[in-house]
Amino acid sequence: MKKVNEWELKKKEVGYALWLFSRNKLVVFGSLIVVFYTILAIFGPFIVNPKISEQVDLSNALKPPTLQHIFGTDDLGRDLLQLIVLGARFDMSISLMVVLTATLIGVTIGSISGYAGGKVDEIIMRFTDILLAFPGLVFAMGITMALGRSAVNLFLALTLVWWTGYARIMRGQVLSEKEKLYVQAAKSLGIPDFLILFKHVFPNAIYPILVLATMDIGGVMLSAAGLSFIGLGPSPFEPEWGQLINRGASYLFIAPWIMFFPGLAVLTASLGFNLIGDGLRDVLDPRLRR
Amino acid sequence: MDEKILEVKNLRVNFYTYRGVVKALNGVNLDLNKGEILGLAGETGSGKSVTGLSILRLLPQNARVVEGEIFFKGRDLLKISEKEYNLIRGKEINAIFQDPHTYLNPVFTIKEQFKDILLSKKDSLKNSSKIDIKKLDEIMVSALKDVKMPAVDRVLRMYPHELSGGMKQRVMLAIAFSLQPSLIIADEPTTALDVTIQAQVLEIMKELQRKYNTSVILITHDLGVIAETCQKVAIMYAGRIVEYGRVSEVFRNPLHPYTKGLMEALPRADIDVKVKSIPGTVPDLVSPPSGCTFHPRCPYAMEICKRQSPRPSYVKERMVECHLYS
Amino acid sequence: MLVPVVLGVTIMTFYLSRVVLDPLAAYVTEKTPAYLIPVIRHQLGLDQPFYVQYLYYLRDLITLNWGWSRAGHMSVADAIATFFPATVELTTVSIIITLLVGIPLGIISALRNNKIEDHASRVFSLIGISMPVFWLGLSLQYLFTYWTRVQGWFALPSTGRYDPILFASHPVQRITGLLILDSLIQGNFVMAVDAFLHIILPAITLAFLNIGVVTRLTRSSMLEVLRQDYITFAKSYGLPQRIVIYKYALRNAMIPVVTSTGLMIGGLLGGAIMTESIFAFPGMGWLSYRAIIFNDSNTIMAYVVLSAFVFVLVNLLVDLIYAWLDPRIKY
Repeated sequence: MKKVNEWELKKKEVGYALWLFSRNKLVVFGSLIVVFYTILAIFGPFIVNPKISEQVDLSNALKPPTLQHIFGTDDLGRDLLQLIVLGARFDMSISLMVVLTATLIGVTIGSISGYAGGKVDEIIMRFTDILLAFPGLVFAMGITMALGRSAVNLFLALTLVWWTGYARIMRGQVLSEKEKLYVQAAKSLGIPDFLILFKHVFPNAIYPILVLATMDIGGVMLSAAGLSFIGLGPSPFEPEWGQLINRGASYLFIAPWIMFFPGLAVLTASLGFNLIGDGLRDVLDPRLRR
Repeated sequence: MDEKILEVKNLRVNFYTYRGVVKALNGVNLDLNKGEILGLAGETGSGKSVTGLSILRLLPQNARVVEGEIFFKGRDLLKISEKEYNLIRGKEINAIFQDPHTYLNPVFTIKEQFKDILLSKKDSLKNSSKIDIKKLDEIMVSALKDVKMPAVDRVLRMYPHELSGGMKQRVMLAIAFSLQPSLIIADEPTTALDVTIQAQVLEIMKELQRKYNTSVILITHDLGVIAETCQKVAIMYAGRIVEYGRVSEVFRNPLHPYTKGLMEALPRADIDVKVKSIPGTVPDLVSPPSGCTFHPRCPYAMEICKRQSPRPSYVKERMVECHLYS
Repeated sequence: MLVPVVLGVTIMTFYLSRVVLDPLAAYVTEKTPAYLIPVIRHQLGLDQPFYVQYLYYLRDLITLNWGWSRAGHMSVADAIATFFPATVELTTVSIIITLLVGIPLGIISALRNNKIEDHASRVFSLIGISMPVFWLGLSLQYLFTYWTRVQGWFALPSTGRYDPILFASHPVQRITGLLILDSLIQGNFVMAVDAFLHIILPAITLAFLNIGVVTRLTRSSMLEVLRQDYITFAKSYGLPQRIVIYKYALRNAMIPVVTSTGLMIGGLLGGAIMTESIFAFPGMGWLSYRAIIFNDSNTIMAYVVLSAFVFVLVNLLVDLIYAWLDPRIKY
C-alpha cells in the first residue's frame, strides 16, 4: 500500500517536472537550438558540399554576404555558410564526448574517494585541488602543445581539465549518504554497504550531475573553439568554428563577416545547452519551486 | 465592558500549490479583547499559524486571502496599503515566532537588529523629533532587563549564534514588548525550547503582558501551555474554529468531539486515565471531506455530518460547531 | 590547504618541465654545436637524479631564479614583474564592472522573480555565459574602434596598454606598475585617461562572462535568503523594505557571491589569454600565449606556479572576507 503511494508520488513528481519543463519557453527554445545543431552535425555533409573546405577559389575571396553566399566567403573564397554547417560536426561531437568522458571519470573517482574515505580520499581530493589551482585553459594548452596539435589531443586535454567537478559532486553525495542510519543499519546486518549506498546515492546525484553536464557542454564548446582559435585545434583544413574565427580575425576590419558568423554559431549552440541546463536546474531544485 | 481590539470575520485563505488549491482557512471568526490572552490550538496543518500570518499580512507568495475581514481597532487590516500597514507592524502589532534560532539574523549583533527596529518605529517613541543614541540604548537595556536578561550590555554586543535558545527567545520577547504594542501574535513561542525554559519564558511573557495590558494570541499545539497562560481558547480543525470559549469551561467541559479527543490525548498527572489518541489524520485540504470535515474521525458521527457542514451554535459565552448541539 | 597545494603544483610543474617539455629547448637551437649539449645539460643539472633536480628546482623557485624568458626577452622574474601588474589592473577594472552590473541585476531578478525583468536578466546572463570571449573581443574591436570611427563619432584604442606617442610626451614613473594608479598619483591625468580608454574594452570583454555568473548567483542566493525566517521577522516589525533587502538580506546573500568572485579573481589574475592576446594587452595572458608559441617552457612553468600561488592566496582572502561577513565562522 505504502509502496504504491510512493510510486504514485514519484510519478506525479516527474510528471510535474516535465510539465514545468515544457512550460518554460526558454527551455523549449534551447532544446530547439540543440536539436537544430544536432541535425547539422549528423546530416551536415549531406546538406552541403562536404568537400567545400578544399575548394579554394581566390577570385571569389572576401566577398561580403550576398544572395549567392548568404554569409559571404572567406579569404580563400570558400562559402562561409557551408563551412559553418560542416563545422557543427566537430564542435558538437567534441563537446559531447568530453563531457561524457569527464562525467564517467569524475563519477568513478568521486565514488571511490567518498566510499573509501581516509587516506585514499585525502589524496584524491588534494589532487583535484591541485588541478583546480591550475589555470584550466593554460593547462589544456600545455597538454595540447606537449602532445601535438590534433583533435584527439584536444579531446584529451579538455577531458583532463573537466572531470573534477563531477568527482566533487559524487564524493559529496556518497559522504552524506554514508552517515545515514539505513546504511549503518545495513552494515550491522552484514549486507555489503556499497550496494545499498549506490542504490541511494545515484538517484540523488543524478540531478546535479545532469545540470552540471548540460551546462558544461556549452562551456567545453567555448573552450574547444577557443583553443582552436589560438591554433591548437584540428588541422586547418578540417572545418571548425574557432578556426574560422581565427581566419576572420586577420581580416577583421575589411571582412568582419568571416569572424562574425562562426562566432554566432558558437554562441548560439552554447546558449542552447545553457538554456536547457538552467531550466533543468530550476525544475530539479525543489527549493526553487513553489 | 470589554474593549474589542481584534475581530476576524469569515476569513478564507487559499494556498496555490502544484497539487491544487489548498483551502487552508475556511471561514475563521475570532474576537479578542484588550489585555486578553487567547490560545489558538490545533494539530499541525489546522490553520492556526496561517491565521496568525494573515493578521500580520505575512502569508507566503502563493497564498491569497480570498474572503473575510480583519478589524483591528476598527480598521480593516486587509484593506489598507502596505505602507500604512508597515506603520502598524512593530508599533501596534508584533510577532514572536517559533524558532528563535532562525528568526534572528545571523550576521548582525542583537544591538544592531534591535536598534534598526526601534529606529524604524521612532515615531512611537517619546520625544520623537530627535532620537539620540543614548535614549535608544536606554530603551534596549531596560527592555532586556524586563525579560530578566543577565549581563545586558554583553548580550547586546553578541551575535545570535552566541546565545542559547532560551536567551534568544527572551531577546525576541524584549523586542516585542519594548514597543508596547496592543497586540502580540506569539506563534509557538516555546515549542523549540526545553521544558524548563518554556515555563520561564511563558512566565516572563505573562508578566509583561499584565504590565503593559497587551492582548496576545498564543498559537500552540500544547494544551498544557494554554491552560497555564490563556483566558480564552479557540480550537481549530481543518481551517475552521470548531470550539471557542473560556479556558476554564472548555477544559472542564469540552463540547466538540474533537476537543474531547484532544483532552483525552493529554497526559494528566492528577487523575489516572489512559491517554487516548484521536484515530486518523488531519484531512487533505485540497479535497476535504464532505459535510463536517471531522466526521471521518468522529466517534459520534451521524448521517447528517457527512452531508452538511454544521453551523456555529452558541451555548452561553461559548461557540461550538457540531451537529450534536444544533 | 595552502602548503600542500603549492607543493603539489610545483611537483607537477617540475614533472611537466623536465619530462613532458624539453628543458634544453630554452638554451639550444638547431645551430648549437653537438659537443656543447652535454655541457649545457650538466650546467643545468639535468644529469643529476630527479629528486636532486627537484630540490634545485625548488631552490630556484624560491630565489626567483626562474631562467630566461624567450617570450619576454628578459629574465622570467623581470618579465613577471613587468607583465603581472598590467593583469592586476585589468582584473581590478573588470571585476568592478562585473560587480557593479551583476549584483544589482541579480537583486532585481530576485525581487521581480518570474516577471519580465527576471526573464530578461536571465537571458542576458546566459548569453554572457555562452559567449566566446575571443569573438566578443573581436566584435567590440570592430564596433568601437572601426565602426564608430567610420561613423565619425569616436574610436576607442583597440590594442596595447597606452599610446606610446602620448607616453613619450607625458611620461609616467613606475611606482606600483598599475598605470592608471601611477598616473593619478603623479597627477598625470592625460595618461590616466589614456590608460583607462585602453583598458575599457578588454575589461568589458572579460566582465561579460562573469556578469552572468554573478547575476545568477546573486539571484538564487537572494531568493533563498528572502525565504528565511529572519526576513519574515524583520518584515513583521515593519522595517522599511530598503533595510530589509539591502541590509538584512543582502549581507547574507553575498556570502556565496564572495566565494565565486574570489574564484573569478583568481582566474583573471592568471591572465586572460584570449582577451589579452586579442587586445595585445601586455599582461600575463599575453606573455603566456607568446610563451606557448615560442615553446618557452621557463616562462610557462613560472606562470603556472604563479597562477596556482595566486589561486591559493585568493582562496585564503575569500576565507577572511567570509569570516567578516558571517560572524558564525571563526578561525
